[in-house]
Amino acid sequence: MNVGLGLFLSSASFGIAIAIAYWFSAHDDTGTWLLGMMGIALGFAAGYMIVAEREARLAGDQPNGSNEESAGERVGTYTLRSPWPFCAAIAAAFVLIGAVYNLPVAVAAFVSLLVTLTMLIRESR
Amino acid sequence: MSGVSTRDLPVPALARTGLLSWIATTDHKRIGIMYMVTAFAFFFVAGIMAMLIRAQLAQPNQSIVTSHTYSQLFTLHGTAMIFFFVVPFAFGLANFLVPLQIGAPDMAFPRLNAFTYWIFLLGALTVMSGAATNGGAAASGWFAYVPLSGIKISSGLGQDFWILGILMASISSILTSINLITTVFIYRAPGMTMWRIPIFTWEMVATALLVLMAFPALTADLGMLLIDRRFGGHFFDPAAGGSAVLYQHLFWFFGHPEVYIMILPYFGVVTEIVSTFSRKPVFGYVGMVLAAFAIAGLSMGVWAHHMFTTGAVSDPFFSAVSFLIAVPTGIKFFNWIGTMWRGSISLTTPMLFAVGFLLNFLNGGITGVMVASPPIDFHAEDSYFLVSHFHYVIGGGSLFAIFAALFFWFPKIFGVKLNEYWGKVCFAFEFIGFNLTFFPMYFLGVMGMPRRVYTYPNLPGWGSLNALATLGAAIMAVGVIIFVVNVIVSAIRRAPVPDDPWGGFTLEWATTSPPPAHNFDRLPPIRSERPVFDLRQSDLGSQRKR
Repeated sequence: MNVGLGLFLSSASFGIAIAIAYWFSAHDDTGTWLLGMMGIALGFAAGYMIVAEREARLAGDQPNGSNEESAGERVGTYTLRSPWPFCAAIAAAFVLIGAVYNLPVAVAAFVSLLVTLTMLIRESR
Repeated sequence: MSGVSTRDLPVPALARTGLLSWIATTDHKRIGIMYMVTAFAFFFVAGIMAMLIRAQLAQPNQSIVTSHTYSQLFTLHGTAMIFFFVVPFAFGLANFLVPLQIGAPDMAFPRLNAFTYWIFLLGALTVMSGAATNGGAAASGWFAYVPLSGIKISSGLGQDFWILGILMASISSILTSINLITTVFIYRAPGMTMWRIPIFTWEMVATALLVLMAFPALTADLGMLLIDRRFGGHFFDPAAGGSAVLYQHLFWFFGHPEVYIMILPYFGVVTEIVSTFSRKPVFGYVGMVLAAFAIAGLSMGVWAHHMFTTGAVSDPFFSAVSFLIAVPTGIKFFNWIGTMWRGSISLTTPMLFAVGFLLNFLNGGITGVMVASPPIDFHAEDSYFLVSHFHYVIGGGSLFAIFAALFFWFPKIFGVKLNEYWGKVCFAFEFIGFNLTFFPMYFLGVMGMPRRVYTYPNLPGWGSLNALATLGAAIMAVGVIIFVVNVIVSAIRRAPVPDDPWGGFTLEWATTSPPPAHNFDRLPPIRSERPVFDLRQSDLGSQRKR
């Protein structure tokens, strides 16, 4: 089994086990829900990894893998600069602040955020 | 690394040089540097606040600052140190190092990486800008307990800004963690199997996993607090059927794992440094990794030991799990000592700070086990004993590891080595100053001095122990000034430094200092968790054959 998957599966099992132990020890709903949801969330991540792993064959998992073997394999397109993350962060900050103090500002910031996210998606293609 | 294209996208020409190039950067190394520089700037701000606090407490019955100003000072000091210094510095270091240590060209999501830095910075500035509002900054502590943080007691904008700023920082931490985990799982170089990745990278995976479990609870908690304050909610209002204890549950469900989020990365730092300067591989590599995850897992089940005195939690459960954490932590200590045992130890500045970390953290850890026992906790709660315990863990632990990391990786990050002599002087000031500041606080706590009070009566021993603590803080401040001067002078002199000045073992030492934009011109074969050591040995072998 993949080490990453094992990590998420064991963490999910731990979350469920400690939630059960906590319930029998404390009979407290709040803590049991917190721990149980933690286990379930980790279980979702593990489930996703099981599905995703069916197709994945990672160079990093080959103990005797060499750089030559993976030469030419396209692992992604990297850019060294983009103005959009900075713009998106400012827009997101104003969405939060505007939601509390000035709704029109929040709406305008939300529209700006959508625009910057669209630009980010276009740029990464 | 083969198979990766670096493409410059059509951004304004100005963004290719100068300040704008930093604003538009998505390079993990530059983002890492920005995180670390910003974190250190907040360290200075929070440090100045600490000096004001210590000046106020130097003698009994002083009134250098008012009680309200004092409350703002300890709130912003704690908030800045925790949310804007110790955690972001770890993320900065991880940003710089993790892709290099696993042989990757960048983080998995470079643009998301840049976004997380900017939203963190905006969050930090939002919190701090509360000080400029009418009524001043938030004054309800870094934990913002209700009803102290409620609209009735904290009606000013400062508390709102605190909540909004911490929400932004939380979003940043969660997204950074997703990025880190994806990078380590997917982007390892050929041969870099999970059981070969360096301990620092493993510790960052454990930290990221903890962030993903803990921070959503904080985000929900603060969201509910904001609804209570500004939109007429009653989540935490007992008079309307809400629960103030619910706030504490949610806060500490985040808050205790946060302590380990602040320490696990630095366990990784110390492991790398101890191994390098003992000239030995890490003793018990698998044990180190499993201990990190055991600590992370158990830390999710101890939150209510901060709430023993509420009388609303299960003391036996939380006490037992709190005691259990000492076991994997003890394994780590055993392994650090095992790594040093019969090693060829060189006491360089990073190694001195790492040893300082071990001594201070041991002190804080032992007193942590003491207060995991409810009968002791009932006496120590809200006293200076806890202030001392916490600072020994985070100040004596994380801060010393941060200095160790700076001296160790500075040549890799900037291509400049810091002066060793002045580094050792800095260590002496920090170690003596730190212990002089915080050790007397154990006694003050046992004598009954409560924390978070802006002044105190002239009771026997209180004045002299507080004066000693203030003197220690001043010595620490001198140590920090020496460090800054060391950085400036070393940067001006720019003495030539080799790519691997320490004889490191992990992959970041295989590239140039500072590394090129694409990280590696060539990667060595990776056949163990010490690929650079293997490369060095094979080079030596070839030379001997010749």
